[in-house]
Amino acid sequence: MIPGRVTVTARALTSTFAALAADELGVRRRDVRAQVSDSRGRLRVRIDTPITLAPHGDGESERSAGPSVTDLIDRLRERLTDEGGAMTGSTVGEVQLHITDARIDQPRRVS
Amino acid sequence: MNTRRMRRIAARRERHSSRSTAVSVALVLVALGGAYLGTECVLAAVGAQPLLAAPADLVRLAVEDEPRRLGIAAVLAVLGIIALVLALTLGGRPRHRVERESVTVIVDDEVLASGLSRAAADSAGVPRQQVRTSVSRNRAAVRVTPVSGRAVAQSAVAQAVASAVTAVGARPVIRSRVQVAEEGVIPR
Repeated sequence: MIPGRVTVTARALTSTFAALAADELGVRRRDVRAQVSDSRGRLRVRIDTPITLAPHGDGESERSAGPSVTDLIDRLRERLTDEGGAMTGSTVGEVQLHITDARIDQPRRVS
Repeated sequence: MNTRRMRRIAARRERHSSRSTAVSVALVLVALGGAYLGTECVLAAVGAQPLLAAPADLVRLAVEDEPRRLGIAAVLAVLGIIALVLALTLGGRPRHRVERESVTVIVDDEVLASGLSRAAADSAGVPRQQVRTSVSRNRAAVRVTPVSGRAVAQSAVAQAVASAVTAVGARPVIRSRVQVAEEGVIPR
């Protein structure tokens, strides 16, 4: 082992988790807020974020077959736990998601 | 006198507090009481007015009735117990001896505690301020607060602390105990 100490600060943790969530959901980084706290020795991550949904059931294109909200959330939780945990070297014990807004991603009209 | 003995005595003096204050107070009280009784006795013997009460009256007052006798007995018993406690407790100071070939070093327990904290923090991979150690005469209690999301191996830390204790070799011998908190904190 190499002597020394690594300290990952709360700020670094929140930035990492917020960026991951923004990337996963395809929303802007600045719309996502992350907080970290302790959950019996493990990390509790709380994310406040809007989500973007594909328009539903207009039957027009393949975009209508977008993932459901629960699919999005499940994938996000998994990614935060696995990838986020690996990136920060922490065990994530709990992920709390707060969906602050939902936007319907309207397909651009070709003029 | 050989130097070894001198070192032992010097180390003992450094590690124990003096009880001369308690002894002085006790002697002054006894002397004042004795002086007063002596004065009353002399006054009574020459037939002069007593200062407060003649010796015979004093004795009568003291043993007049049951509650008073019991009260006086209780006061004397408490004084006796205080004196016994002062005499018998170790009067130890929070320090330990560290003996090397030709010198004896007296180390404050706080210094030992901070050294053990350091060993524990390095082993657990947590910032120093997340370790609290208290050292008493023959015990060291180390409490580690982990960083959230990073498990701390209690046995590894316990081993690191134990080997630090052995390396210092303080006397009286210290036994260490490491406790890892259930809740973690996130460094700011």
